[in-house]
Amino acid sequence: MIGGVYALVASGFTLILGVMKIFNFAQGQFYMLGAFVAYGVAVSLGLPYVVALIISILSMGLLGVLVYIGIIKWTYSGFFQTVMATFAFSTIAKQGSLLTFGYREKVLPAVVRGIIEVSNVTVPGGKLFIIFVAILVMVSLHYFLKLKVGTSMRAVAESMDVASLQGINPTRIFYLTMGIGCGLSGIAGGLIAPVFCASVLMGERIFIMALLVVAIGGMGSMTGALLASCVIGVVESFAYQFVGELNLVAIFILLAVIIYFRPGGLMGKPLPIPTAE
Amino acid sequence: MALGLVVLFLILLPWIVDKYSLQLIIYTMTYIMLALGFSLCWKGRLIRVDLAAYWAIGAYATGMLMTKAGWSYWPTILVGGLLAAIIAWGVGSLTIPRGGLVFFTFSMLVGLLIQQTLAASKSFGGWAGIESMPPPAIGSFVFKGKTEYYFLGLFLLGVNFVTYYLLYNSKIGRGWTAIGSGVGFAKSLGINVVRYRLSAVVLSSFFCAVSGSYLASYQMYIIPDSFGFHQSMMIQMFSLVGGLNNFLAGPVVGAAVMTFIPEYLKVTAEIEPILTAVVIILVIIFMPLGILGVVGKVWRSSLFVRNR
Repeated sequence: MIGGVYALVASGFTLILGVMKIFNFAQGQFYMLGAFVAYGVAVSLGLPYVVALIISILSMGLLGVLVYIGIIKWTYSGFFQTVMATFAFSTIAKQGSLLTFGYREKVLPAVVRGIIEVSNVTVPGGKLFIIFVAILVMVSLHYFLKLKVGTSMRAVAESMDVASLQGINPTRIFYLTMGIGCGLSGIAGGLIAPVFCASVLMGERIFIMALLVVAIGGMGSMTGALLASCVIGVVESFAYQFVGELNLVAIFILLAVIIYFRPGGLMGKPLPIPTAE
Repeated sequence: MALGLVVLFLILLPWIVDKYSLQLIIYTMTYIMLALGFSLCWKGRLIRVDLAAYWAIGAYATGMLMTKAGWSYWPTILVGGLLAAIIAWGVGSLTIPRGGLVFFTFSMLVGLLIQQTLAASKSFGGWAGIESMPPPAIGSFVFKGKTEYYFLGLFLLGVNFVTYYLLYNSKIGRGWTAIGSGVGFAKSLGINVVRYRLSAVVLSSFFCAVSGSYLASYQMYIIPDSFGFHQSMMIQMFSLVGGLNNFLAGPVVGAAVMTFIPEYLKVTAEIEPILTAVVIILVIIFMPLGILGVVGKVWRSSLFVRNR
């Protein structure tokens, strides 16, 4: 269940990293803000949950584009500079929402109720709903990247100069990428809000997990992200039963083993590296 | 002449400033040691985000050995430093050959792993950390006042600074400069890029751990919260604000400015990170080479230099 959410955040992250060569530190904060938007729409305004989900994906996509126009475009002079700029934005987002919402956790009422029983295994319906939506979004993303727009996106990821020679406008592709990447985080936040609570501090944990997913699955590989998020979700939950708080260590050991035997991650081939190779 | 004046000023400093400023200076010195380590790796165009974790290794080595094993202070500095160097060598030799981005990602993950492990395991004191550490002593002379700690810190920082200065002006330092101006270029000169970068990482980790031991002995307690990811990013900010291309003076200026100014502005703890973040963005946009970059530009364009 949690694996689906990791997959959404991680694929947004890996999309931005691959196409724009930007290490987006604020990915976790977009997830947090998405959860809060979903809470605000569904509880404060009283609209149905599906509308809340759609609004959270749209508003986070818009915010991503605004962040690109407002901050990242001006600091695009090098990899390190964009790292610091996105980190600065994530600090602003976190502290700003801390001041507005406070430390109190916001609880969204469960949307999908009931339990589904499949031969002795009981699964809560709400969690199945998350898995269903996550798979739906991932599949549609996969086919989106096969469209004409998606192809030009991958062309920009391959090489910006060659792509602009082919008549592709990289700036517009950047807007689109930023919108989709941040929107994916937003929908993940909106999905998790009814199951767990929406809290200001949830952004950092998910960012670490998304980074682990990207490292295990291979940088820039969508299939790898999906596979790795399943692996990590399972390992994290099982390890918690045996070693408790140290379950992060178990994931890191897994990571070290995988990286030792498969340097590019499970599925990936190494990306063109933005800092000096 | 100028060097002599600076040394004299540094020796007289504890009697010039008040106690509170002296404490800030002591913290600034630990930050400078960390930021120097970051600049060392940046010289070889490696970005590391795990410096706070190696800081923690030094602090915990000192704390554990002094409270649990009853060692004296001085060998623990060396043990912590060597431990950090060994860990950095292991991580570095696995990730540096895979390139800058992989090293960046993994440094971040390893830094978090070290902090979480220290915090989660009961034998290291958990989230409460280690407390009531004895002060360091030479024979019967015990370090207890701020002035004594200032001179201890000055000595360690001086060793760090002189080591880096000598290295930057040697063959290996020129190798790092070559890597900084282009990896392909450095390779064509016959420089083993991986080995040079690895040595930078190991060396900076060693001095970070030394800084951690110093911090632990000054504070006499350690909590894992103070070695988090946020601290690692603050260290990069010191180098960025001071000047990315000034590898020795940049961190000194940046750490001093960014420690003293927020302290005297006295803003609340919730708003301060926002202001810092805005400062980062403004510095990147308007002063890409930091304070020293601006100073150097003004200096070069001044009438005085043009006439010579």
